[in-house]
Amino acid sequence: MTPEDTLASMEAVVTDLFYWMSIALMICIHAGFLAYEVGASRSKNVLASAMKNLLTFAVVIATFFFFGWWFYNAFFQFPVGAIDAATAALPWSEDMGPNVTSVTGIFWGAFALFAATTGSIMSGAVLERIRTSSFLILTTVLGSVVWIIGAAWAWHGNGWLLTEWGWHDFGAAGCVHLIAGAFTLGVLMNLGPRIGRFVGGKAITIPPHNLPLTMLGLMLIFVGFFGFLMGCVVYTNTGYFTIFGNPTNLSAIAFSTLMGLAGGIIGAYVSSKGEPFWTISGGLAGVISVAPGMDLYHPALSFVIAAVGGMLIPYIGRLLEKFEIDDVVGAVSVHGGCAFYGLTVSGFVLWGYPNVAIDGFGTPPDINPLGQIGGAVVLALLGFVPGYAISLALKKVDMLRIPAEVELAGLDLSEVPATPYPEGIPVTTLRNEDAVIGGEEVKA
Amino acid sequence: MSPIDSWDEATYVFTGGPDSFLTVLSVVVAVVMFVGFIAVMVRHEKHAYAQMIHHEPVEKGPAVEGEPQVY
Repeated sequence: MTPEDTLASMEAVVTDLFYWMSIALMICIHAGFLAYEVGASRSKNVLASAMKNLLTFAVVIATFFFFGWWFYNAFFQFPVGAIDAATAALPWSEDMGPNVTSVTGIFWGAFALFAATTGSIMSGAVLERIRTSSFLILTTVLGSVVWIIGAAWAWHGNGWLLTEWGWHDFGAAGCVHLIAGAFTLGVLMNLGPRIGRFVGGKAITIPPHNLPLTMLGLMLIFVGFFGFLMGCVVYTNTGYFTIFGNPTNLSAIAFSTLMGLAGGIIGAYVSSKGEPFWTISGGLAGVISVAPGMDLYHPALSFVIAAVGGMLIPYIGRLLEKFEIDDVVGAVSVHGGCAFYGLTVSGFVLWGYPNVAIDGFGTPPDINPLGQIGGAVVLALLGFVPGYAISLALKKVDMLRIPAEVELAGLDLSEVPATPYPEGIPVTTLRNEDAVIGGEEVKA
Repeated sequence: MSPIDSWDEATYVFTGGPDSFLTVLSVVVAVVMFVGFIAVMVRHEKHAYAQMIHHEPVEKGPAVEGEPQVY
Protein backbone atom coordinates (compact mmCIF):
# COMPACT_ATOMS: atom_id res chain seq x y z
CA MET A 1 0.00 0.00 0.00
CA THR A 2 1.43 3.39 -0.99
CA PRO A 3 1.45 6.35 1.43
CA GLU A 4 -1.29 7.91 -0.73
CA ASP A 5 -3.44 4.78 -0.38
CA THR A 6 -2.88 4.80 3.37
CA LEU A 7 -3.89 8.46 3.58
CA ALA A 8 -7.04 7.86 1.51
CA SER A 9 -7.94 4.88 3.66
CA MET A 10 -7.49 6.85 6.88
CA GLU A 11 -9.56 9.71 5.46
CA ALA A 12 -12.44 7.33 4.79
CA VAL A 13 -12.12 5.84 8.27
CA VAL A 14 -12.11 9.22 10.01
CA THR A 15 -14.97 10.55 7.87
CA ASP A 16 -17.02 7.47 8.71
CA LEU A 17 -16.21 7.81 12.39
CA PHE A 18 -16.91 11.56 12.47
CA TYR A 19 -20.44 11.21 11.12
CA TRP A 20 -21.04 7.96 13.02
CA MET A 21 -20.55 9.98 16.21
CA SER A 22 -22.81 12.69 14.86
CA ILE A 23 -25.59 10.17 14.15
CA ALA A 24 -25.28 8.59 17.60
CA LEU A 25 -25.48 11.96 19.32
CA MET A 26 -28.45 13.02 17.19
CA ILE A 27 -30.40 10.04 18.49
CA CYS A 28 -30.30 11.89 21.82
CA ILE A 29 -32.49 14.52 20.15
CA HIS A 30 -35.15 11.87 19.66
CA ALA A 31 -34.76 10.49 23.15
CA GLY A 32 -35.11 14.06 24.35
CA PHE A 33 -38.19 14.80 22.27
CA LEU A 34 -39.75 11.58 23.54
CA ALA A 35 -39.18 12.52 27.19
CA TYR A 36 -40.19 16.11 26.50
CA GLU A 37 -43.49 15.16 24.91
CA VAL A 38 -44.31 12.40 27.37
CA GLY A 39 -43.84 14.93 30.16
CA ALA A 40 -45.89 17.57 28.35
CA SER A 41 -48.82 15.17 27.87
CA ARG A 42 -51.51 14.55 30.42
CA SER A 43 -51.17 11.17 32.10
CA LYS A 44 -53.99 9.76 29.95
CA ASN A 45 -51.92 10.20 26.78
CA VAL A 46 -48.41 9.33 27.94
CA LEU A 47 -47.85 6.11 26.02
CA ALA A 48 -49.56 7.35 22.88
CA SER A 49 -47.16 10.30 22.87
CA ALA A 50 -44.17 8.00 23.35
CA MET A 51 -45.34 5.67 20.58
CA LYS A 52 -45.80 8.62 18.24
CA ASN A 53 -42.19 9.68 18.80
CA LEU A 54 -40.86 6.18 18.33
CA LEU A 55 -42.80 5.69 15.11
CA THR A 56 -41.72 9.09 13.79
CA PHE A 57 -38.15 7.90 13.96
CA ALA A 58 -38.89 4.60 12.21
CA VAL A 59 -41.12 6.08 9.50
CA VAL A 60 -38.80 8.91 8.52
CA ILE A 61 -35.69 6.73 8.44
CA ALA A 62 -37.40 4.21 6.15
CA THR A 63 -38.92 6.73 3.76
CA PHE A 64 -35.75 8.79 3.70
CA PHE A 65 -34.07 5.69 2.28
CA PHE A 66 -36.87 5.00 -0.19
CA PHE A 67 -36.98 8.50 -1.71
CA GLY A 68 -35.79 11.29 0.62
CA TRP A 69 -32.12 11.14 -0.27
CA TRP A 70 -33.01 11.24 -3.96
CA PHE A 71 -34.82 14.58 -3.49
CA TYR A 72 -31.68 16.10 -1.99
CA ASN A 73 -29.57 15.04 -4.93
CA ALA A 74 -32.09 15.96 -7.62
CA PHE A 75 -33.48 19.33 -6.56
CA PHE A 76 -30.62 21.65 -5.64
CA GLN A 77 -31.19 23.99 -8.57
CA PHE A 78 -34.69 25.43 -9.03
CA PRO A 79 -37.00 23.72 -9.84
CA VAL A 80 -34.99 20.54 -10.49
CA GLY A 81 -31.23 20.49 -10.65
CA ALA A 82 -29.82 17.10 -11.43
CA ILE A 83 -32.46 14.49 -12.10
CA ASP A 84 -30.05 12.40 -14.16
CA ALA A 85 -27.12 12.58 -11.74
CA ALA A 86 -29.45 11.81 -8.84
CA THR A 87 -29.92 8.25 -10.02
CA ALA A 88 -26.92 7.47 -7.78
CA ALA A 89 -29.23 8.26 -4.84
CA LEU A 90 -31.96 5.82 -5.87
CA PRO A 91 -32.32 2.95 -3.40
CA TRP A 92 -31.08 0.30 -5.84
CA SER A 93 -27.94 2.17 -6.94
CA GLU A 94 -24.42 0.98 -6.15
CA ASP A 95 -23.83 3.73 -3.55
CA MET A 96 -27.01 2.96 -1.58
CA GLY A 97 -25.76 -0.19 0.09
CA PRO A 98 -22.56 -1.76 1.38
CA ASN A 99 -19.79 -0.48 -0.89
CA VAL A 100 -16.18 -0.65 0.26
CA THR A 101 -15.23 2.44 -1.75
CA SER A 102 -18.15 4.71 -0.83
CA VAL A 103 -19.05 6.68 2.31
CA THR A 104 -22.54 7.61 1.04
CA GLY A 105 -24.19 5.62 3.82
CA ILE A 106 -22.74 7.71 6.59
CA PHE A 107 -23.86 10.98 4.93
CA TRP A 108 -27.27 9.47 4.19
CA GLY A 109 -27.48 8.47 7.85
CA ALA A 110 -26.69 11.93 9.13
CA PHE A 111 -29.28 13.48 6.80
CA ALA A 112 -31.82 10.86 7.81
CA LEU A 113 -31.41 11.94 11.43
CA PHE A 114 -31.88 15.60 10.44
CA ALA A 115 -35.03 14.47 8.62
CA ALA A 116 -36.35 12.65 11.67
CA THR A 117 -35.72 15.78 13.72
CA THR A 118 -38.17 17.74 11.56
CA GLY A 119 -40.84 15.15 12.32
CA SER A 120 -40.12 15.33 16.04
CA ILE A 121 -40.42 19.12 15.95
CA MET A 122 -43.98 18.79 14.65
CA SER A 123 -44.80 15.91 16.96
CA GLY A 124 -44.96 17.90 20.20
CA ALA A 125 -47.17 20.65 18.81
CA VAL A 126 -49.98 18.29 17.82
CA LEU A 127 -50.05 16.20 20.98
CA GLU A 128 -53.14 14.60 22.46
CA ARG A 129 -55.61 14.99 19.58
CA ILE A 130 -54.05 14.04 16.23
CA ARG A 131 -54.53 10.57 14.80
CA THR A 132 -51.20 8.78 14.84
CA SER A 133 -51.65 7.44 11.31
CA SER A 134 -52.34 10.91 9.92
CA PHE A 135 -49.45 12.30 11.87
CA LEU A 136 -47.14 9.69 10.34
CA ILE A 137 -48.35 10.55 6.82
CA LEU A 138 -47.66 14.22 7.54
CA THR A 139 -44.29 13.32 9.06
CA THR A 140 -43.34 11.37 5.97
CA VAL A 141 -44.13 14.35 3.77
CA LEU A 142 -42.27 16.75 6.06
CA GLY A 143 -39.26 14.55 6.81
CA SER A 144 -38.71 12.82 3.50
CA VAL A 145 -39.99 15.35 0.94
CA VAL A 146 -40.49 18.94 2.07
CA TRP A 147 -37.53 19.63 4.33
CA ILE A 148 -35.11 17.78 2.07
CA ILE A 149 -36.19 19.85 -0.94
CA GLY A 150 -35.54 22.88 1.28
CA ALA A 151 -32.16 21.41 2.18
CA ALA A 152 -31.34 20.93 -1.50
CA TRP A 153 -32.13 24.60 -2.11
CA ALA A 154 -30.67 26.07 1.06
CA TRP A 155 -28.20 23.60 2.52
CA HIS A 156 -26.27 22.24 -0.42
CA GLY A 157 -22.91 23.28 -1.87
CA ASN A 158 -24.63 24.08 -5.18
CA GLY A 159 -28.07 25.06 -3.84
CA TRP A 160 -29.78 27.82 -5.76
CA LEU A 161 -30.32 30.04 -2.71
CA LEU A 162 -26.53 30.09 -2.30
CA THR A 163 -25.57 30.41 -5.96
CA GLU A 164 -28.22 33.04 -6.78
CA TRP A 165 -28.82 34.97 -3.54
CA GLY A 166 -25.66 34.41 -1.46
CA TRP A 167 -27.53 32.48 1.24
CA HIS A 168 -25.69 31.39 4.39
CA ASP A 169 -27.19 29.18 7.10
CA PHE A 170 -24.57 27.11 8.88
CA GLY A 171 -26.83 25.33 11.37
CA ALA A 172 -29.84 24.61 9.12
CA ALA A 173 -32.14 27.14 10.81
CA GLY A 174 -33.99 27.56 7.53
CA CYS A 175 -34.34 24.07 6.11
CA VAL A 176 -34.84 22.22 9.41
CA HIS A 177 -36.35 24.59 11.98
CA LEU A 178 -38.18 27.15 9.85
CA ILE A 179 -39.65 24.60 7.47
CA ALA A 180 -40.71 22.32 10.33
CA GLY A 181 -42.19 25.25 12.27
CA ALA A 182 -44.10 26.60 9.26
CA PHE A 183 -45.35 23.13 8.27
CA THR A 184 -46.52 22.62 11.85
CA LEU A 185 -48.37 25.94 11.86
CA GLY A 186 -50.27 24.85 8.74
CA VAL A 187 -51.22 21.57 10.41
CA LEU A 188 -52.29 23.23 13.66
CA MET A 189 -54.63 25.57 11.81
CA ASN A 190 -56.59 22.59 10.51
CA LEU A 191 -56.19 20.35 13.53
CA GLY A 192 -57.67 22.79 16.05
CA PRO A 193 -56.96 23.01 19.78
CA ARG A 194 -57.38 20.33 22.43
CA ILE A 195 -60.83 20.23 24.00
CA GLY A 196 -60.90 22.76 26.80
CA ARG A 197 -57.80 24.68 25.70
CA PHE A 198 -59.81 27.76 24.74
CA VAL A 199 -63.07 28.65 26.45
CA GLY A 200 -64.98 31.68 25.27
CA GLY A 201 -61.93 32.89 23.41
CA LYS A 202 -59.80 32.72 26.55
CA ALA A 203 -56.71 30.50 26.67
CA ILE A 204 -56.81 27.92 29.47
CA THR A 205 -53.53 26.38 30.54
CA ILE A 206 -53.54 22.57 30.41
CA PRO A 207 -50.68 21.59 32.74
CA PRO A 208 -48.20 18.91 31.65
CA HIS A 209 -48.34 15.80 33.79
CA ASN A 210 -44.58 15.76 34.41
CA LEU A 211 -42.73 19.03 33.90
CA PRO A 212 -39.43 17.71 35.33
CA LEU A 213 -39.42 15.00 32.63
CA THR A 214 -40.05 17.68 30.03
CA MET A 215 -37.06 19.63 31.32
CA LEU A 216 -34.86 16.53 31.30
CA GLY A 217 -35.99 15.89 27.74
CA LEU A 218 -34.86 19.31 26.67
CA MET A 219 -31.48 18.77 28.31
CA LEU A 220 -31.16 15.58 26.23
CA ILE A 221 -32.03 17.59 23.13
CA PHE A 222 -29.20 19.97 24.05
CA VAL A 223 -26.80 17.00 24.07
CA GLY A 224 -28.17 15.86 20.74
CA PHE A 225 -27.62 19.28 19.25
CA PHE A 226 -23.88 18.80 19.53
CA GLY A 227 -24.31 15.87 17.17
CA PHE A 228 -26.64 17.88 14.95
CA LEU A 229 -24.17 20.76 14.66
CA MET A 230 -21.26 18.36 14.26
CA GLY A 231 -23.14 16.97 11.28
CA CYS A 232 -23.43 20.49 9.85
CA VAL A 233 -19.65 20.51 9.33
CA VAL A 234 -18.11 18.93 6.27
CA TYR A 235 -15.05 17.01 7.40
CA THR A 236 -12.20 16.35 4.95
CA ASN A 237 -8.57 15.30 5.28
CA THR A 238 -7.54 18.94 4.82
CA GLY A 239 -9.82 20.38 7.49
CA TYR A 240 -13.38 21.43 8.22
CA PHE A 241 -15.69 23.37 5.95
CA THR A 242 -19.26 24.53 6.21
CA ILE A 243 -21.70 23.15 3.70
CA PHE A 244 -21.32 26.50 1.90
CA GLY A 245 -17.59 25.90 1.38
CA ASN A 246 -16.04 28.40 3.80
CA PRO A 247 -13.50 27.06 6.30
CA THR A 248 -14.55 26.58 9.92
CA ASN A 249 -13.93 24.17 12.79
CA LEU A 250 -15.68 22.67 15.79
CA SER A 251 -13.96 25.21 17.99
CA ALA A 252 -16.00 28.00 16.38
CA ILE A 253 -19.18 26.00 16.81
CA ALA A 254 -18.43 25.28 20.47
CA PHE A 255 -18.30 29.03 21.20
CA SER A 256 -21.60 29.77 19.47
CA THR A 257 -23.52 26.73 20.64
CA LEU A 258 -22.74 27.15 24.32
CA MET A 259 -23.16 30.93 24.31
CA GLY A 260 -26.38 30.48 22.34
CA LEU A 261 -27.71 28.03 24.92
CA ALA A 262 -26.77 30.34 27.77
CA GLY A 263 -28.19 33.46 26.13
CA GLY A 264 -31.43 31.79 25.15
CA ILE A 265 -32.10 30.39 28.61
CA ILE A 266 -31.40 33.73 30.27
CA GLY A 267 -33.48 35.67 27.75
CA ALA A 268 -36.45 33.35 28.13
CA TYR A 269 -36.18 33.47 31.91
CA VAL A 270 -36.44 37.25 31.83
CA SER A 271 -39.38 37.49 29.46
CA SER A 272 -41.34 34.58 30.96
CA LYS A 273 -40.59 35.69 34.52
CA GLY A 274 -38.98 32.36 35.32
CA GLU A 275 -41.66 30.07 33.89
CA PRO A 276 -39.82 26.69 33.67
CA PHE A 277 -41.25 25.51 30.35
CA TRP A 278 -40.34 28.67 28.45
CA THR A 279 -37.03 29.07 30.28
CA ILE A 280 -35.64 25.72 29.23
CA SER A 281 -37.16 26.06 25.76
CA GLY A 282 -35.11 29.25 25.62
CA GLY A 283 -31.94 27.16 25.32
CA LEU A 284 -33.24 25.67 22.11
CA ALA A 285 -34.48 29.07 20.96
CA GLY A 286 -31.02 30.52 21.56
CA VAL A 287 -29.20 27.89 19.53
CA ILE A 288 -31.69 28.18 16.67
CA SER A 289 -31.42 31.99 16.71
CA VAL A 290 -27.65 31.88 16.22
CA ALA A 291 -27.64 28.82 13.94
CA PRO A 292 -27.36 30.73 10.62
CA GLY A 293 -24.08 32.42 11.58
CA MET A 294 -22.63 30.28 14.34
CA ASP A 295 -19.48 29.71 12.26
CA LEU A 296 -18.90 33.48 12.12
CA TYR A 297 -20.46 35.20 15.15
CA HIS A 298 -18.33 36.42 18.03
CA PRO A 299 -19.42 34.51 21.16
CA ALA A 300 -20.64 37.67 22.89
CA LEU A 301 -22.75 38.56 19.85
CA SER A 302 -24.10 34.99 19.86
CA PHE A 303 -25.15 35.52 23.45
CA VAL A 304 -26.96 38.77 22.61
CA ILE A 305 -28.76 37.35 19.55
CA ALA A 306 -29.70 34.22 21.49
CA ALA A 307 -30.96 36.18 24.50
CA VAL A 308 -33.27 38.23 22.29
CA GLY A 309 -34.46 35.02 20.62
CA GLY A 310 -35.17 33.52 24.03
CA MET A 311 -37.06 36.66 25.05
CA LEU A 312 -39.23 36.47 21.95
CA ILE A 313 -40.66 32.98 22.35
CA PRO A 314 -43.26 33.59 25.08
CA TYR A 315 -44.57 36.54 23.08
CA ILE A 316 -44.84 34.49 19.90
CA GLY A 317 -46.61 31.81 21.95
CA ARG A 318 -49.14 34.34 23.26
CA LEU A 319 -49.67 35.69 19.77
CA LEU A 320 -50.59 32.22 18.56
CA GLU A 321 -53.00 31.85 21.47
CA LYS A 322 -54.87 34.93 20.28
CA PHE A 323 -55.69 32.96 17.14
CA GLU A 324 -56.68 29.93 19.26
CA ILE A 325 -53.77 27.90 17.91
CA ASP A 326 -52.85 25.22 20.44
CA ASP A 327 -49.13 24.53 20.08
CA VAL A 328 -48.57 22.25 23.07
CA VAL A 329 -44.78 22.54 23.23
CA GLY A 330 -44.23 25.92 21.60
CA ALA A 331 -42.70 24.36 18.47
CA VAL A 332 -43.90 27.09 16.12
CA SER A 333 -42.53 29.78 18.45
CA VAL A 334 -39.21 28.14 19.21
CA HIS A 335 -38.38 26.54 15.85
CA GLY A 336 -40.29 28.62 13.32
CA GLY A 337 -40.18 31.98 15.10
CA CYS A 338 -36.56 31.89 16.20
CA ALA A 339 -35.34 30.52 12.87
CA PHE A 340 -37.03 33.39 11.03
CA TYR A 341 -35.69 35.90 13.53
CA GLY A 342 -32.19 34.40 13.41
CA LEU A 343 -32.07 34.37 9.62
CA THR A 344 -33.27 37.99 9.46
CA VAL A 345 -30.66 39.15 11.97
CA SER A 346 -27.92 37.19 10.19
CA GLY A 347 -28.62 39.08 6.97
CA PHE A 348 -27.58 42.33 8.63
CA VAL A 349 -24.85 41.08 10.96
CA LEU A 350 -23.15 38.98 8.27
CA TRP A 351 -23.71 41.54 5.50
CA GLY A 352 -20.65 41.64 3.22
CA TYR A 353 -19.06 38.32 4.16
CA PRO A 354 -17.83 36.82 0.88
CA ASN A 355 -18.96 33.45 -0.38
CA VAL A 356 -16.56 30.90 -1.85
CA ALA A 357 -16.32 30.32 -5.62
CA ILE A 358 -18.07 27.13 -6.76
CA ASP A 359 -16.96 25.06 -9.74
CA GLY A 360 -19.45 25.54 -12.56
CA PHE A 361 -21.39 28.29 -10.79
CA GLY A 362 -18.85 31.10 -10.31
CA THR A 363 -18.74 33.10 -7.10
CA PRO A 364 -22.11 33.57 -5.37
CA PRO A 365 -23.12 37.04 -4.12
CA ASP A 366 -21.85 38.14 -0.70
CA ILE A 367 -24.11 37.39 2.27
CA ASN A 368 -26.78 40.11 2.31
CA PRO A 369 -30.07 40.95 4.08
CA LEU A 370 -32.30 40.50 1.04
CA GLY A 371 -30.85 37.09 0.34
CA GLN A 372 -31.30 35.95 3.93
CA ILE A 373 -34.80 37.39 4.41
CA GLY A 374 -35.95 36.35 0.93
CA GLY A 375 -34.63 32.86 1.50
CA ALA A 376 -36.41 32.68 4.85
CA VAL A 377 -39.71 33.66 3.21
CA VAL A 378 -39.21 31.02 0.48
CA LEU A 379 -38.52 28.29 3.04
CA ALA A 380 -41.41 29.36 5.28
CA LEU A 381 -43.78 29.06 2.31
CA LEU A 382 -42.21 25.75 1.30
CA GLY A 383 -43.08 24.44 4.74
CA PHE A 384 -46.44 26.09 5.35
CA VAL A 385 -48.22 25.39 2.05
CA PRO A 386 -47.91 21.57 2.02
CA GLY A 387 -48.51 21.37 5.77
CA TYR A 388 -51.75 23.30 5.45
CA ALA A 389 -52.91 21.63 2.22
CA ILE A 390 -52.28 18.01 3.24
CA SER A 391 -53.72 18.42 6.73
CA LEU A 392 -56.79 20.08 5.18
CA ALA A 393 -57.21 17.09 2.86
CA LEU A 394 -56.92 14.68 5.82
CA LYS A 395 -59.44 16.77 7.73
CA LYS A 396 -61.90 16.63 4.82
CA VAL A 397 -61.84 12.84 4.87
CA ASP A 398 -62.17 12.83 8.68
CA MET A 399 -58.75 11.29 9.26
CA LEU A 400 -56.90 14.13 10.94
CA ARG A 401 -58.29 14.14 14.46
CA ILE A 402 -59.33 11.52 16.99
CA PRO A 403 -63.01 11.37 18.07
CA ALA A 404 -63.97 13.72 20.91
CA GLU A 405 -64.91 10.79 23.19
CA VAL A 406 -61.45 9.29 22.77
CA GLU A 407 -59.78 12.65 23.33
CA LEU A 408 -61.68 13.17 26.59
CA ALA A 409 -60.92 9.69 27.91
CA GLY A 410 -57.34 9.61 26.63
CA LEU A 411 -55.51 7.75 23.90
CA ASP A 412 -53.88 5.35 26.34
CA LEU A 413 -57.27 3.80 26.99
CA SER A 414 -57.90 2.99 23.36
CA GLU A 415 -55.16 2.52 20.82
CA VAL A 416 -52.25 1.65 23.15
CA PRO A 417 -52.63 -1.79 24.75
CA ALA A 418 -50.75 -0.90 27.94
CA THR A 419 -50.96 1.56 30.79
CA PRO A 420 -48.09 3.84 31.79
CA TYR A 421 -48.65 4.04 35.54
CA PRO A 422 -50.58 0.94 36.63
CA GLU A 423 -50.17 1.88 40.27
CA GLY A 424 -51.11 5.50 39.74
CA ILE A 425 -49.10 8.66 40.22
CA PRO A 426 -48.49 9.87 43.77
CA VAL A 427 -50.20 13.20 44.34
CA THR A 428 -49.07 15.68 46.94
CA THR A 429 -52.10 16.57 49.03
CA LEU A 430 -52.12 19.98 50.61
CA ARG A 431 -54.03 20.39 53.84
CA ASN A 432 -53.56 24.08 54.33
CA GLU A 433 -56.41 26.48 53.83
CA ASP A 434 -57.47 27.10 50.24
CA ALA A 435 -55.74 23.89 49.23
CA VAL A 436 -56.31 22.14 45.93
CA ILE A 437 -56.97 18.42 46.12
CA GLY A 438 -57.59 16.29 43.07
CA GLY A 439 -58.07 19.29 40.84
CA GLU A 440 -60.93 20.76 42.92
CA GLU A 441 -60.50 23.79 45.08
CA VAL A 442 -61.43 23.16 48.71
CA LYS A 443 -61.61 25.29 51.79
CA ALA A 444 -59.96 24.01 54.95
CA MET B 1 -26.76 -13.55 -4.35
CA SER B 2 -23.10 -12.48 -4.26
CA PRO B 3 -22.30 -9.81 -6.84
CA ILE B 4 -18.56 -10.51 -6.59
CA ASP B 5 -16.29 -13.45 -7.33
CA SER B 6 -13.28 -12.00 -5.53
CA TRP B 7 -12.54 -9.23 -2.99
CA ASP B 8 -9.82 -7.87 -5.27
CA GLU B 9 -10.89 -4.46 -6.64
CA ALA B 10 -14.32 -4.90 -5.05
CA THR B 11 -16.60 -1.85 -4.81
CA TYR B 12 -20.27 -2.62 -4.13
CA VAL B 13 -20.66 -5.86 -2.23
CA PHE B 14 -24.31 -5.93 -1.21
CA THR B 15 -26.63 -8.85 -1.97
CA GLY B 16 -27.67 -8.87 -5.60
CA GLY B 17 -25.65 -5.80 -6.58
CA PRO B 18 -27.01 -2.54 -8.04
CA ASP B 19 -30.01 -2.43 -10.39
CA SER B 20 -30.49 -6.18 -10.10
CA PHE B 21 -33.87 -7.87 -9.95
CA LEU B 22 -33.27 -8.96 -6.36
CA THR B 23 -32.35 -5.46 -5.21
CA VAL B 24 -35.28 -3.78 -6.95
CA LEU B 25 -37.61 -6.48 -5.64
CA SER B 26 -36.30 -5.93 -2.09
CA VAL B 27 -37.02 -2.21 -2.36
CA VAL B 28 -40.51 -2.82 -3.75
CA VAL B 29 -41.33 -5.33 -0.99
CA ALA B 30 -40.00 -2.96 1.67
CA VAL B 31 -42.18 -0.12 0.33
CA VAL B 32 -45.23 -2.39 0.20
CA MET B 33 -44.59 -3.46 3.80
CA PHE B 34 -44.36 0.20 4.80
CA VAL B 35 -47.68 1.03 3.14
CA GLY B 36 -49.16 -2.06 4.78
CA PHE B 37 -48.00 -0.81 8.17
CA ILE B 38 -49.87 2.47 7.67
CA ALA B 39 -52.98 0.59 6.53
CA VAL B 40 -52.86 -1.70 9.59
CA MET B 41 -52.48 1.32 11.84
CA VAL B 42 -55.50 3.06 10.30
CA ARG B 43 -57.59 -0.10 10.78
CA HIS B 44 -56.39 -0.53 14.37
CA GLU B 45 -57.23 3.07 15.20
CA LYS B 46 -60.73 2.85 13.75
CA HIS B 47 -61.41 -0.36 15.63
CA ALA B 48 -59.94 0.93 18.91
CA TYR B 49 -61.89 4.18 18.80
CA ALA B 50 -65.16 2.43 17.97
CA GLN B 51 -64.69 -0.12 20.76
CA MET B 52 -63.91 2.57 23.25
CA ILE B 53 -66.92 4.65 22.30
CA HIS B 54 -69.10 1.54 22.76
CA HIS B 55 -67.39 0.64 26.07
CA GLU B 56 -66.15 -2.65 24.65
CA PRO B 57 -62.64 -4.14 25.06
CA VAL B 58 -60.28 -3.36 22.21
CA GLU B 59 -58.89 -6.90 22.17
CA LYS B 60 -60.85 -10.11 22.72
CA GLY B 61 -60.13 -12.27 25.73
CA PRO B 62 -58.82 -11.40 29.18
CA ALA B 63 -56.71 -8.28 29.59
CA VAL B 64 -52.99 -8.95 29.47
CA GLU B 65 -50.78 -7.62 32.22
CA GLY B 66 -50.61 -3.86 32.02
CA GLU B 67 -53.52 -3.54 29.61
CA PRO B 68 -55.98 -0.84 30.64
CA GLN B 69 -59.45 -1.77 31.83
CA VAL B 70 -62.42 -1.35 29.56
CA TYR B 71 -63.47 2.27 29.54
